[in-house]
Amino acid sequence: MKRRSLRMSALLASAVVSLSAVAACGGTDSSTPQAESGGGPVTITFRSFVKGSDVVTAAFNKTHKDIQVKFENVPSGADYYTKLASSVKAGNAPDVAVVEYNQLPEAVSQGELEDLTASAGSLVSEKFRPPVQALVNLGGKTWGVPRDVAPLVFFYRKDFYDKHKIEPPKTWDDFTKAMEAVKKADPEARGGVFQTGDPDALAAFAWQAGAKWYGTQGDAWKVDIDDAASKKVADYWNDLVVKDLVAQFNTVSDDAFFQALQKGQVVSYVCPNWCAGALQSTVPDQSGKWAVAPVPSWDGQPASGMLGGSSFTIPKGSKHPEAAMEFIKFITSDMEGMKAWLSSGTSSMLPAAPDLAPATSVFKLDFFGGQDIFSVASKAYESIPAGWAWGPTAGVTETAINDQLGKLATGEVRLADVLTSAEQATVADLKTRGLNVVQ
Amino acid sequence: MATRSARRQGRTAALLIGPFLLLFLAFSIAPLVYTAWLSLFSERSSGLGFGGTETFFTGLENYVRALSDEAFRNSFLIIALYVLLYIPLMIGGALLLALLLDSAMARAKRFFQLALFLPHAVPGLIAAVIWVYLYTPGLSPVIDALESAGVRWNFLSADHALFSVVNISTWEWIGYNMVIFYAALQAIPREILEAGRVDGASGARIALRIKVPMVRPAIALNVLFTVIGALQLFTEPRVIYRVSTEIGSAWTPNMYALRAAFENHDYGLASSASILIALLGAVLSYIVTRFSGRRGQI
Repeated sequence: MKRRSLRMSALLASAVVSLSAVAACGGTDSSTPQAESGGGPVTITFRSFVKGSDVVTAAFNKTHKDIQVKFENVPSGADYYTKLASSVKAGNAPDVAVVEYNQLPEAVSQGELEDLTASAGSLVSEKFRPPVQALVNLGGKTWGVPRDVAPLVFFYRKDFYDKHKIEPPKTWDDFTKAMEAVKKADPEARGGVFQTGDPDALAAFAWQAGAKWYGTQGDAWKVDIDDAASKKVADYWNDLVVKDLVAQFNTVSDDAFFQALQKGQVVSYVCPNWCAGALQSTVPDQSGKWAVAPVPSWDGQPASGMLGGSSFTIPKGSKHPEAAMEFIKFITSDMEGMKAWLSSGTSSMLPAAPDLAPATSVFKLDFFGGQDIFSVASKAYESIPAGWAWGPTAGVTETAINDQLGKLATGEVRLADVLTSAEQATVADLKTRGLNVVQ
Repeated sequence: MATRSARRQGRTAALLIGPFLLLFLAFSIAPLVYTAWLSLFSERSSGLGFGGTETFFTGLENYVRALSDEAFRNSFLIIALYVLLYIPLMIGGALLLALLLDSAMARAKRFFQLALFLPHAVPGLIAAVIWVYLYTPGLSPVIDALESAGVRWNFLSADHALFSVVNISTWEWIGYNMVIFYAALQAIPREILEAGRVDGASGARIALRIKVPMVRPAIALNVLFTVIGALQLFTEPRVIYRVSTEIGSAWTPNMYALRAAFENHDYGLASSASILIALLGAVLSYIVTRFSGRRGQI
């Protein structure tokens, strides 16, 4: 009893000390604009699931005395967007919220977000490349500020590949051969992963191959999910799955996947650069064994697709849009903010703004034997085909694909057919919502 | 004198019913009315859809859409299959356990009663999470054990998920139903059983010919309650869907409604589907009340 109360008071004391430390730090800086009338600091809320959000919030609060940010940690996944939509409806939405690029059009069309054209339109057009601008500028207005891009790269166990004299594949043909070689070298191991619970991975491969699932033509949507490029990608992965040349996991954030990494049952996989942070925190004992190479392409020329990537938005109903924008600028377009994200060690994202790339130097690269994985990712970023857009019914598209992905291995369904039915479901839903569609 | 006591009685009744009625109105009736209201409207956008949404009155159109959607109809088929598999297994098992406990030979009755009832005290969501852990390849010691015995079984595949869900539900509910049957068995007058024994009936014969017929009303009631409960099937398959999407996002009617509302932002369709589920539940409940009423007359 006595011991517990002692510990309790120690805890309290340390809390008091750290609080005053924060207060002291807050007092040293004056670079922020004056708070809106009323004196005391403006408090805004920030809701996010991306790694390092707590660190970047603390960094902001340390240097801004007029705006204080309260961070709400929330789980990722479809439920996040459900919660966001419901909070906007209920009038208790946060002032700043993360929205991934693939979810942005849907959130905008549901009327969940504030129009940021006036406060961030010029920032977006000056700071970011056109393909990324296209992901946040919808219908001629700006809805979010991009933070990171997520080009696919190839993660592989260098020790395994060297030992068995396998070369990191340059083309998808090479990739198939590499998968065969890995399986031959160790029947328990696989050199690739097919995610049965993440249709966006398939979208990223289609994007790389030049597909454009969503497009606009005047005032109407044009949906093409089963074009030739997408079908080629679908048949290719279908074949790998049926032949058991790649391992199947729900997602690469799953416990089952991490277990397989631990056991050496996955020795390489295609993943965006953000996977590096998760990888090194999951299997720290494999430090120095991993390396990164460009993702294989169809013709051997550099090309990549994007899986993930986030923008930051102001949900409708925010009482402090100016303070919120101040915070958004810090976490998306400011060198210090960018460094804060990456210094957390859990986030290995690639800044969307090209001039912020040097911020990645704060990310320790020991896990990759000192290899500059960000330069690989930056080159991959430059090689992403332009013209990809997400649509307001991306959720329907994803569910339609998702519900079938687990059935490929048995031959029950063919991936190419899944794409065709996903297109039909998407077009039907667009029409139900009263939107214009051309075919 | 009589009227005053009647008034006081009325006041006491109001006091006792009041809190229930208030909560019932706030959390059952009000949402039901609101859902019925929502089911008559649809949200529409125009052009590319970046101008937000507008709400239109569409009458019964949402009901027509729900009923003509194959996915919605299939979800009831899944429930039917589930009931066919689950009821004999769970009710039969509960009855067997209750008979065993009731038999003279049973030892440590209290222990088994408690042990079998315990899973029911675990909240459904937590139970589902634990079971899904046991179902996930690469994590589950059960799958490892099966594989070392040469058996390959994917608990989460579209074909096997029904068995996996039935297994979870049985684990959760068998003890609860057993306790009810056991209580009913205890209520059987001992003279009747003794008469049977005197006439030379064996233990098994007494169980089948005397005990089971005498607790039949309890069995029938539990079956009907279980069917109504099955209509609400949601937690277990939803948790399974999170780790393996093979069963699909609209496996049960409630999952269909959830998907419509929160993934497709189609609150009108979700509301009409929910009302249809509630209507079916109401019809089944009506049968239950009719049935228990008749039992009272016997």
